[in-house]
Amino acid sequence: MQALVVKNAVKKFIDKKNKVVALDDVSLEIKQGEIVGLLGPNGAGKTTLISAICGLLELDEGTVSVFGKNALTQKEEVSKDINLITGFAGVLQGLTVEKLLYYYTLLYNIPEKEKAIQRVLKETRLEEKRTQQAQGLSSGYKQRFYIAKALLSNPKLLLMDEPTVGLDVKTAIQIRELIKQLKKNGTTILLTTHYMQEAEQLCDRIALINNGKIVAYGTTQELKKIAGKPKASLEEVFLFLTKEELKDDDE
Amino acid sequence: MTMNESLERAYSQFYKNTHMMFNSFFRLMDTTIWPMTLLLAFAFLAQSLNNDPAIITMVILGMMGWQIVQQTQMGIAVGYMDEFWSNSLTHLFVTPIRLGEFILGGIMTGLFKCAIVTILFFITAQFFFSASVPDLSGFIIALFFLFIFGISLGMINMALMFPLRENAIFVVWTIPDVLVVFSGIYYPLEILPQPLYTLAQFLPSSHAFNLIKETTGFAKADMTALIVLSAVWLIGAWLLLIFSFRFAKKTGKLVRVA
Repeated sequence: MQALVVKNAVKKFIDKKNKVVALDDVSLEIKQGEIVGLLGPNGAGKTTLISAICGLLELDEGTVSVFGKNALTQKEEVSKDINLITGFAGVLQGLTVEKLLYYYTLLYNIPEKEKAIQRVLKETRLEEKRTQQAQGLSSGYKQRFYIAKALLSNPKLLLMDEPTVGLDVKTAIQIRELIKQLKKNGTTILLTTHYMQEAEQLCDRIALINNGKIVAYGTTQELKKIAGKPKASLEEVFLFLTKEELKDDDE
Repeated sequence: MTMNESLERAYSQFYKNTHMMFNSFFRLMDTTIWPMTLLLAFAFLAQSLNNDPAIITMVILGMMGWQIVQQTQMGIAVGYMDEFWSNSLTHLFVTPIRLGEFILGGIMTGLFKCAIVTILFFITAQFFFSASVPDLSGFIIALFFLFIFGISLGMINMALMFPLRENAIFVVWTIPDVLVVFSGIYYPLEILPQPLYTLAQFLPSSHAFNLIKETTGFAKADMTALIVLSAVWLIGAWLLLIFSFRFAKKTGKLVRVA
């Protein structure tokens, strides 16, 4: 079964009277249980695509469906199946970790709230921070908090926007282990990262996005084949494929 | 979607807003000390200028009415502002909560704040000025319509905040202050210059305050205008909010994608 189907997604923004094409006919399919990496330079369209999948952004053209449901017109239903981890959004100020998690259990209509909170605190090793103000957590613990918040609803599709950015090595390793565990449990994951090794280590398939277009999509080996560099590293393949696109744009 | 799920998501906003209010002394002041300070200042001023109990009562009831508008609109707007300033709107809107549920949660918060302010006002007014409400049923009806107007203003505030984001904040906080002039809280509407008087006729608040003044014998209320205008403002504010939400979703301003 397809967990996520993005079909011919187009999104344009007006920036100082110029039209910026953030997504240019993007199509992407992710099978249930897969981890797919979405790699691209800054401003390539990763966050725009993730926002459209979450139903936070209306596309100009194309559709997004999550487990067969339209992300925009059936947003409420889709929101029950997905969750988002992003370090680019902040934590709500003024509440402790446990109260903030309780707040999210209400938003997701989780039946056994205290049990769910206990579970995610344990999974993310946040038990000792339970009564601390969430906004006072260090960046590593904040990232764990975002993961805890996302796991509360047992999402079938998890969107992770640079989950290990700015974290120390130990925390980053712990989060990668958690991602592997989630995959074992059957969670489908769409992951954006700038760390090629992380993508290679975690992802079943990788989509390279540049200038709002998916320039290549496949396993690491398939990407190397597409680039015509079977022995190159993923980093080299990434640079090669995105550079090709930049060259095309310059022409 | 079930009714229970919907109510629970609306309650999430009440939970958040009230916890944040009781966790912060300064926020609590907004619902307790500041309204009391204003009440005492205005009522003592009225007492010093004219020691007529009817005038003092009109000022106190007028202040109470305006607090209902302010606390209700803030109950709705603050829930959004907190998420905005914390940069956590993405986490909020990725959940299944719908716009109507978010507003309902804000209305619950507003109602709770109104209850606190009203109780404190009654106690203070009784203690310092021995003031009482001459016509309780008329006063409650007026408060109900001011509550509805507060909901309309709260939704208009949010409609401005979705697309304008931080630029809307200053506009949002000044709207109620501007409306104070047109609503005739402490004076008869007739003293307004003709253009302002005409404008005031389109505000439900000016008719609601006339109803309050009617209880102390200072004005005559037009109930038809009050009911019709309250409904028009409420429906108009809701439609504006929906339009603004869709616009923000389309332009990427809802969670600042663009």
